[in-house]
Amino acid sequence: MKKTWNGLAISAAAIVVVYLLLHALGGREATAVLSGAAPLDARGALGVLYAGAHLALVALAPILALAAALRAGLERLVAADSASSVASRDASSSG
Amino acid sequence: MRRLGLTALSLVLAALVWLPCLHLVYGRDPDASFSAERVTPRARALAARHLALWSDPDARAREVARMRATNAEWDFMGRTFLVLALANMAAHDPPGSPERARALAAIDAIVEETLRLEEERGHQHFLMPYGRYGGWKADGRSVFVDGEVALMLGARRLVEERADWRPLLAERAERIVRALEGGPVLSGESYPDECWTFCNAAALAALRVHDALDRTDHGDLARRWLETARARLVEPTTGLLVSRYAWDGRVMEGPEGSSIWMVAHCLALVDEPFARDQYERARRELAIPALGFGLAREWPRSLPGHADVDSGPIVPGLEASAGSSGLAFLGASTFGDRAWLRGLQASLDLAGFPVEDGEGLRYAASNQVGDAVLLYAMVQGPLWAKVREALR
Repeated sequence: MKKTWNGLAISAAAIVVVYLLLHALGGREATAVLSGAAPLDARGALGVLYAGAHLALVALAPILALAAALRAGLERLVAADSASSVASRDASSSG
Repeated sequence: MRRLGLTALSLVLAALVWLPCLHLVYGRDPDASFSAERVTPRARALAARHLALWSDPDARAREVARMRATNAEWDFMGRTFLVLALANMAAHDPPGSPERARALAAIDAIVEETLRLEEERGHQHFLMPYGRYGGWKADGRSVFVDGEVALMLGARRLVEERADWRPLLAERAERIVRALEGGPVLSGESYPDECWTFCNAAALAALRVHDALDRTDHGDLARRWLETARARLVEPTTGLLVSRYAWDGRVMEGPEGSSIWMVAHCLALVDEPFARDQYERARRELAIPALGFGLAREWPRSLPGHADVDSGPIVPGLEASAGSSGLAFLGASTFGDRAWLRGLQASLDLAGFPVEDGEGLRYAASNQVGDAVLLYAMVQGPLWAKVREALR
């Protein structure tokens, strides 16, 4: 079975990477644009992107990471359930 | 299809677990920042950055230019809020202590520079450009400038007397009285044919400070102002004071978050029950509680408006305003609303982008005036208590 939870975990990791990248580019300082004390130029755009990435980091990435763990657990449960159904079907057909 | 269902279920469950917990990550105890009994380490760290700015002329010039490029008022209000904050801090520190001496020296430098700039560049230097276009109904003086200058002079003198500032405060108080008494609704203009409750409430607070310091009595004027405001300046659906009106009392703009929190704070010196009622109404109309976070709207739900220089950016969907949310700290701190302070602080720590380094604390998404308001909210209490005590 394809591991769907991988996609969730990769998305969470991608948010972390984007955030760290914007942080390294000086995004935190550039958020001054949010107070209206700096123009919405390239640096201002960096600040807006950084703010978005920060919110994604604290609100979305943990949800994606948790969902990946839950999804992996659910996949195992479903796989175990399917295996036991197949086994009991095999047992009843051979009996 | 089943896979998609499992993924969606996982996402929903994860969101249900994480989102209600998010505020716990940012849920600092408000007592660690906001206190009328002591200066908290966080307030000291925030003040350190301001004090460093005022001891570095180049850095200050850059910050002032940055703010004036958007709004000349911010330059002036940043001074007022910082002076009020430093005066409250100095009131805590024992006489002769280096912290108190440093705060008083900074206050003196700020006020003296403000008076010099006003003298050299004109009374309208701290107003937005339309303040210079003419059309004033009275004498062309702004109660915004006179009121806040008087507050700064008085705040300094409440902590430690400066005899040479006594006539300066008396002169500003006289101008405020002339402006208020001369207006059809007992209000002075902040801009040509434009009165603001923010500025008139600050001016009234300054008169009460003057009363406390110099044994004058402006109680009757304050009472009459409140009677007039109740009759002419209260918006009927919300019961909140409007923010902007013409000199003759014609309402130009209804209640606004960026005004009402400061109005309630200032009127607490004039009529505490009325001020508290305004705060509680504003809290009901403007507060946005969301998953343990706190934000404030600029306009009541029933009276929508448009983003402007006072509201700051508006968060779409939530309708939260940077200006209103920042000044809400002052309202919540004045009226001891710890629950809301906790929520507001969680939002600030989440979206204000605090920067702590060797120079102290600041919020990257804020500016000097925003940080000064926050600092004032953290330390306010001693000055208003001194005034109330003197007027008792």
